[in-house]
Amino acid sequence: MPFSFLVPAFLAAMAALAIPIVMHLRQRDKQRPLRFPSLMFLRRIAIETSHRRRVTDWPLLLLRALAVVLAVLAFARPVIQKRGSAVASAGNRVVVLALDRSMSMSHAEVWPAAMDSARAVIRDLSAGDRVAVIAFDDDAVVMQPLTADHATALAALGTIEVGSRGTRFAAALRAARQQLAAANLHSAEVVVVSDLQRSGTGGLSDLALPPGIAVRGIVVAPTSLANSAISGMTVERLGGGAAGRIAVTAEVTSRALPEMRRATASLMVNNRPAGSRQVELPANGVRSVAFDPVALPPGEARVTVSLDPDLLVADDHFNAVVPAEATQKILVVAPADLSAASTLFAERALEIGTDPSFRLERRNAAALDAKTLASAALVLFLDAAPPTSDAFTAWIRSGHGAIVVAGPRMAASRTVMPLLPATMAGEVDRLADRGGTLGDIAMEHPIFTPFRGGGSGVLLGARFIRYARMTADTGSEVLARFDDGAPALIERRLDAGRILLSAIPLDTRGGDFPLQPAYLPFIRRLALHTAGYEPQPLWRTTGEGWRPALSVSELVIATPDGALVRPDTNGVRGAISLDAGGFYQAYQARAAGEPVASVAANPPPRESDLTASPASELLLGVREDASELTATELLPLAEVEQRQRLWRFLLLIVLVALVAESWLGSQGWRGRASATRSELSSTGMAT
Amino acid sequence: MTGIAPAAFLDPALLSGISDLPLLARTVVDGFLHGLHRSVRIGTSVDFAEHRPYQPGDDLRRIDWRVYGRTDRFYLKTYEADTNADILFVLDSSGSMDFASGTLTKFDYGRFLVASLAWMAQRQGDRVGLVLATDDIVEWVPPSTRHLNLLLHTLSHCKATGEGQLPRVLEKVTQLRGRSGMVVLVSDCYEDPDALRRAVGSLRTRGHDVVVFHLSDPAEVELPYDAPGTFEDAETGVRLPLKPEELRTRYRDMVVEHRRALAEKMAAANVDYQLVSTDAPLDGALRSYLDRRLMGTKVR
Repeated sequence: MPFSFLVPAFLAAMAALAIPIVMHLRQRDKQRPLRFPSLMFLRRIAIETSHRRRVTDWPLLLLRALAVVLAVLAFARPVIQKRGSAVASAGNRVVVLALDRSMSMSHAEVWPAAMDSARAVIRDLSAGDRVAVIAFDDDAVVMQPLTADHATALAALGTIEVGSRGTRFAAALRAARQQLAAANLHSAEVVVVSDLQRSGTGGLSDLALPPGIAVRGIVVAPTSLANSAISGMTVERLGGGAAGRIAVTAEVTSRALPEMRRATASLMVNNRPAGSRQVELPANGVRSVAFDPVALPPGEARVTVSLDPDLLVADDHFNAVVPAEATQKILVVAPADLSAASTLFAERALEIGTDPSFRLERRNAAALDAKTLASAALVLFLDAAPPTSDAFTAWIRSGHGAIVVAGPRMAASRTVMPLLPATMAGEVDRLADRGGTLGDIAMEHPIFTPFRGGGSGVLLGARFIRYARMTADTGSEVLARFDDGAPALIERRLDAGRILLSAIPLDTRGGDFPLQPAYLPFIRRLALHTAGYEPQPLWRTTGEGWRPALSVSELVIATPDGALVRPDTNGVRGAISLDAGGFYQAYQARAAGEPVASVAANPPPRESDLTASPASELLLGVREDASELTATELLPLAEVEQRQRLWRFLLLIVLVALVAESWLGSQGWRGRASATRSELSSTGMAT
Repeated sequence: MTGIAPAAFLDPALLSGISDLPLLARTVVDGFLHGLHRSVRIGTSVDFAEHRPYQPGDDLRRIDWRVYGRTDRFYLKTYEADTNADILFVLDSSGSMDFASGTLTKFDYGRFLVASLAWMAQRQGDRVGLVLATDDIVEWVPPSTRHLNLLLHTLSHCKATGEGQLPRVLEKVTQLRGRSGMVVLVSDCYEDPDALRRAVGSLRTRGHDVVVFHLSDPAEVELPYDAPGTFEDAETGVRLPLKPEELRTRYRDMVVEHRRALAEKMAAANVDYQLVSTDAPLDGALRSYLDRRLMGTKVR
């Protein structure tokens, strides 16, 4: 029964063992000396030093040393470790079988071999040996906890199906360690049945295994690493409305092909064939396959590109969901007497863009009621102050946005505008110095995303002759300043919504910015950010979570394998895990009719790389868990206390040793010596 | 007092309970003298000794005219007569005297002894003086017939401490003493026998009778300790870690050899040497003193 110490640093106090020894050797010097009339004769007698330093009372010394040693051991808190007790006592093996079920294991040659290998591992066990079964991809699931019933383990193994997710060996090893720790076992063998993809070794460096756990890898790699896979897709929207079309381009990756391969790539839109292409795939490399544009059906379009299947079929399909064309409505509020030239550039710039496209409607500030605002994504105030109505404020706080472009009217206004993030302080005229430029720009802000990486020069090329001078309020963020330090663009967040106040003139009266190439991307990004628009990805990777951004009650999600899932629409638990490749479709109440939302899930592209790492490298980077306290920490408190109570006995023995030391010290000549000394002391003669 | 046998007054264990030194001295002397044989002559009376023929220069007043009448020759009468002598007690008051394995330290024993002897000498008409000696003369009470009380008072208030160098002190005493008399040395004699012999030899050369009382505690001889421990020299403070049981035999041999050497050297110097154990009654020491005193005070 091995034991270790909870506070091994206390063992350093073992050096205190020298104390009783030194005390013992110096005891005579530290005792009250016996006064003798004259040492004239005694000094003549040769006194050997060895005699003076010799231990004169071994029993006393040993008792004192024992007391010190036991006290130190008690404070070091010894703890009994019963690790491996189950193994040692019964002499039986403990095996944790981890079976890889990632997408790459669906290779025609691999999965049957993997299942056979896994079954062989269980069948090779002797009666009494315990086995646990874990299925893992980029996550691990315990299919069967530790059991000595091998038939049950085989049955659990039979329920494992290959999936579409990626590979992460760390997940399997961590689950195995937890299984062993929960069973209070520090000694076992973990058998990993996998194709040992090199791409699955991520995260191993964060893992620590107790020294008693041995990991063995059984490689079930295919005979050939040749594989072709569709690794990506781009969808370009051509035109809008009913005449809209999409152009799909697939990206096909080939690895380790013996020679160039001729294959057919097929396009399906909403489960209907929409085109095909003959493609010659290189032995190693990427080839783009562009399909002819196809008509975009109304609503969401589920696009699938397929390749002639090879031995690994799962990555020969690629799915995407092209959302319905999104149109964002922008309400434009401008003074009635504002010239058309003042709004021309901004309106045209916003109307040009697609995906999403903007639809502008002129409105009067007084007409911004809740009903009008409900359908709008954004309100653009051109030299007009936003209303202070509760409806508008509530609309902003609910997650919408407003852009306020300060012109000469607002600059001259002295009225308080509570929603704005700044106060107006007149207008700046930079005509004398040929106009100013933007000087300090927060390039990390999403508005300026198009101008990162050297694009800021385009923004700085615009010159501004007149602009409103503003003083930013506390709590607002200045996103850009003019070269004279005056704020140019200020953002204030109101709960989920935001208001952006711009002193940057959007017409030619205030400068030449509308004529600069930066104008269009700037004003479009400004509108998208303020509207809170987030583009939906065409597809997601298996293993990710998906939570439809819908305020729909009784949501039903149909998975690619036909199962229906009712997620909890309240809280984060409403997200479902995209385990399988294909389309996940969300319906309201019943899985019938048109889905209210869809998402495509594809295996991670790295899973198509079948390059395997040697089994010997499986544990490279895995640290050895020196503390070995994982199991102890998991134990019930009563058992933890039971294992640590040695210190009480040690202290008890220390007490007994001290009592014995006291008793022994008063026996024999020690007692007589004390008596003699006390007798002399009582007469006052011997001090 | 009458209920107690006189000899009991000489027991050191009993004497240790008497704090009044004059009372103690008188008690000791009375008890001692009570037990002496009556034939011993003491006192100051003048007794006829013999006749001797007249020689020119003799005092004519001492001519015995009756003998001249009968013999027609001049004879002088001689007498045995006690003379008042100077008795100087030299008490060793070094630190080594402050030791006792029983109830009485050597120093206390020495004080009792000196007090008793002084009391007895005073009764005989001698002049008594006192020297307390360490490595020098600590106290000096000149011999006088009226200095007994001073002597006793000095003895009552002295303490034994410091290092001792008896030969040096005795040399000084030799120089201070012009008139011959008796020097009574009471010490534990932790000195080199040869050096001590030279010192007492100087006194003898000056005509002094010298009596040495060598005080000894039983533990000094037996070294009765078993436990290893640190021994501290009572005079110098030097400490030695010792295992007495291993040294005892060799120590005893050295002590015996030291005493034998002292006895020889003192005898060679014609000095009375008396070894006195502090657990022994005082009468032995008193008798030794008295013998020496009677022998030395017979003048003609």
